[in-house]
Amino acid sequence: MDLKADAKVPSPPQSRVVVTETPKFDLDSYIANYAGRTRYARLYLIGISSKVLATEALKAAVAEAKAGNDVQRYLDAVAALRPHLTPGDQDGVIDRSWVERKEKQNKAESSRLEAELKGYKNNLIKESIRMGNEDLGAHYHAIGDLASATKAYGRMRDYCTTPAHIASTSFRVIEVAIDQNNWLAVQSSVHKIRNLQLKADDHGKAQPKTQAAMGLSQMHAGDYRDAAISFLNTDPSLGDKYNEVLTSNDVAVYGGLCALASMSREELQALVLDNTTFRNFLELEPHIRRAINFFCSAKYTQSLAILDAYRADYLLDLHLQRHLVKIYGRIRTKSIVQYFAPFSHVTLDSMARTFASQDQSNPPIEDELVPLIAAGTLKAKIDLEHRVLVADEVDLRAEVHREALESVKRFKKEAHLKLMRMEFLNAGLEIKAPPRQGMGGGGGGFSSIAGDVLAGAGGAGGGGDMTGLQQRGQGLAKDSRGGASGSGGGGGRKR
Amino acid sequence: MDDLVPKLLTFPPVPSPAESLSDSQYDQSIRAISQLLTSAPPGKLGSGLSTGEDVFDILDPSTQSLAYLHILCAHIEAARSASKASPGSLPPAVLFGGRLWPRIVAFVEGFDPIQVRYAGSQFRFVLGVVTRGSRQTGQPMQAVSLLRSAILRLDPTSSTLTSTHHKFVRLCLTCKAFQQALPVLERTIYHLPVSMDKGAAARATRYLCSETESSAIYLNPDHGLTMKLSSRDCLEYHLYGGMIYMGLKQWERAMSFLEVVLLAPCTNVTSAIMVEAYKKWVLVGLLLSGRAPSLPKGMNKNMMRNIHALAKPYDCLVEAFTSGRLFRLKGDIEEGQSFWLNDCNFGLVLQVYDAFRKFSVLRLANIYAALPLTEVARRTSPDPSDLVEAASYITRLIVSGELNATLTVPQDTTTPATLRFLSSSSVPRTEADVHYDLTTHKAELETILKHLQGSDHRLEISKEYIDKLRVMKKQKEQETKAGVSGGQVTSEFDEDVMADL
Repeated sequence: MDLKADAKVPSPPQSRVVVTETPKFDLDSYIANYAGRTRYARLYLIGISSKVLATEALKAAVAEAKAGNDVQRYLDAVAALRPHLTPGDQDGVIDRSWVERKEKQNKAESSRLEAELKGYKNNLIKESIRMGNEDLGAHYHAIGDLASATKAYGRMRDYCTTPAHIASTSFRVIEVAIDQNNWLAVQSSVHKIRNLQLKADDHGKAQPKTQAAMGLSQMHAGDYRDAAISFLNTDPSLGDKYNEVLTSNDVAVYGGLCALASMSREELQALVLDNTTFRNFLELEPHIRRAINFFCSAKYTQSLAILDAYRADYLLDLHLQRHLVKIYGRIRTKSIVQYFAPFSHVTLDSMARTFASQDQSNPPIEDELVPLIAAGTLKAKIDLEHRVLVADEVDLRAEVHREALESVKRFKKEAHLKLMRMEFLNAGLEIKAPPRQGMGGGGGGFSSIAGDVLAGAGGAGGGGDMTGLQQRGQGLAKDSRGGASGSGGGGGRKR
Repeated sequence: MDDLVPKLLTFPPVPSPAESLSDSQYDQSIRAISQLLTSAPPGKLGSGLSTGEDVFDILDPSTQSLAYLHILCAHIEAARSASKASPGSLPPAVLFGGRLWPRIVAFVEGFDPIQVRYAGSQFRFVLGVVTRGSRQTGQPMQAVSLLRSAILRLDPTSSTLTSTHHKFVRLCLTCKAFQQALPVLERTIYHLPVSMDKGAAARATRYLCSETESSAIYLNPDHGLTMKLSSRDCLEYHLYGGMIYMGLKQWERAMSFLEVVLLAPCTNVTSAIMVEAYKKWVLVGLLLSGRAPSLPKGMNKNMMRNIHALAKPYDCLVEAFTSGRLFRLKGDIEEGQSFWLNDCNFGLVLQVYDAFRKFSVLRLANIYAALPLTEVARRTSPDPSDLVEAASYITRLIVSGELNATLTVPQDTTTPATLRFLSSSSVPRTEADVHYDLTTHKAELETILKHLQGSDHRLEISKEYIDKLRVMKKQKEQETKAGVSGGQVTSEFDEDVMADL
């Protein structure tokens, strides 16, 4: 029995990210901000990623799962929790009776709802069918069968009669799609909602949610700039109305970080700090506001220090975890480039001080600069002798001269090649496939071409005369090779 | 023969008249001489003079070129029929050190380029004798210089490809006379010989002796100064030319020669010469810039696919080279050794391997302004701990001018030497340099333009073009008629369909 139970439990999952630092937030009050299935998702992620909060978060996750209907989630949470517990701990044992009871209940509920839906369909009452599908979708979503939930909501859309119905359906689809990490579906649903002719009142209610969902999907697609703009345009009336997905605090953090990663200092000032609507969000997360402020006033050390201090928190965020390294990397790169912009020489040591990182594993500053210079982001050169970074001096006049000469050269070359091509055509010397037969025949020009043409390689057996020619050609090639390497050797000796 | 010589001496008139001959007079008199020479019985020209004087001493190869050439041919023929050598080989008299050899040399190095236009096939015969003779004696170098002077005297711009060109580069390649080939190769080919129909030829120029814009007018198979070239010959000329430049390590020129081959038009087939050219082109591109070369515009897509399929190992080599990992490049080179050897490109591949190190040092200049030798060695040397070798390698690069940098060796031996790259702007080009560059480029552009107009002109006077014009004109007339009578203008689309048909 015990063995069988073990076999059913998946092995504890390995998170890609392991966070050893203690985050700044308090788990209980953090998770209290959220509602619905995202609570479990967040707790579980913290549980498998954080070393410090693992036990606490996973225990909460087990409790959360047990309060719901999703059996698989419960099993996952227990499996993840078990390695953190002492062997005899009751929390690590699966409550089999609960599992069996839930599975039975879920099955019964599914078939009940399906049967009901069938009945509605027979009666051909649109509204009932819509509601039947809605119930079914909600049920499937709750028990974690996301594919069936999407299908049910898809069917539900066919029976929608008012724009408000369509909007609510779309929001449900968005929720499931976020659970599935299907960001394209999120985007298309958002577009659907935006194109609806909603009442002004409803529209005002939908706007913050669609903006937030859009920003989220753009962030996951890696379009940090678009994501920042979506978040920045989110209406502060969002409040805690969307806490089954994200809170206003999240909007502030995501929006702020995406903006820092993708916008110039002027844009940050104009679009973020001077943005009256977004200010409401930023007030919730004052450190983000401070980081942006520092960045705009060119105090990169402080800005990066603030971000570093919150690294652990953000690495434990459901949506930020995957992108944090990339976003932080971009912010850092931008800081370095901006920092260096007004100087012609900067010592590497002072740069290392400015961009000191808490993360000790970071390479020395010069190694960090190399890829930036190689990619052309940073227009400078490293002088390792004096340990300074030297800005590239561009002699514009010489540069223009060089470019002009190069383009003339290129043009000459191309013109000559085109002219030659025309001459080939004019002289009737287009390369043609060899005639299949009579290759050895007297047609001098043709049979000699036959040897080179590969398209008809199958027929290239004949014509002894021709193969002789080819061999001679090879001999010549050999000679030139000898000559080339020979002169290479000679050149070496001369030097 | 005795009676013939005085007549031959009348042309060109001595002393030259105050007013030089007009083209028509010149043409008339030289044709008369030509007629005289060609109608003479074969034995007569080859016979000696009754006075015992040598006829070649009487005639001057640079003024009486036409007569000299005809008589020279006759003598060669006579020597050949008199000798007992097998029919395929040449008699000793025309070989190096033979009786006729000095005459051949005197003629080829001194002939009048206008006169030989009237005896193209004889001229080619003499050059053929020179080429074959040098092969027979195993001393190709003599033929190299003679062919070169023949090509350049005949057409100082050497802008039209002739069969002599083809023979010449092939000869140079066989005997590794790379430097000697340069005077010809340096002059860019702009035209290929093409036989013009009679009408077009007449439209192009009135007289064969006239000054012409382009050498392509008289260098065509009709006048015998060149044979009809096949596409194979044209491709081979450029491939061989490219190979000669490779031997001289002039990669940029080699590239442009090979690109002519790659861009040659073809009908959905791929020539083996093209594949060879592509293989070499890829390697030369790496040697020139350290990057994969970008294909010239306008290449046939189908052909490209064929070539890629056949030259896979080379594409892999490029990838390994650009990956920046030495061990990968080394592995690929060793892996494909049989390919390189079979294709006779092993020498180039070895040079690519050497170039890898050079380019990794040069690439450091993009990132560093200065760095200690230990770092340079760590990044680029095959053995990072051998600083002495690294220092000497870098010194060689600097001395050869490929690396614009300084290597500072400090007094005490504990600190390593420093390599400091000099930015290109630290050695500013003077205005005069730039001006010189601009003027040369301008002149070259004008040459291209001139040749382009020449080609245009020749196309415009060709029979096909005029026929096409006539057809188009007729079509237009019919259309206007139809438009008037029918009162309805045919739509654009229909016209197109008709034109295609």
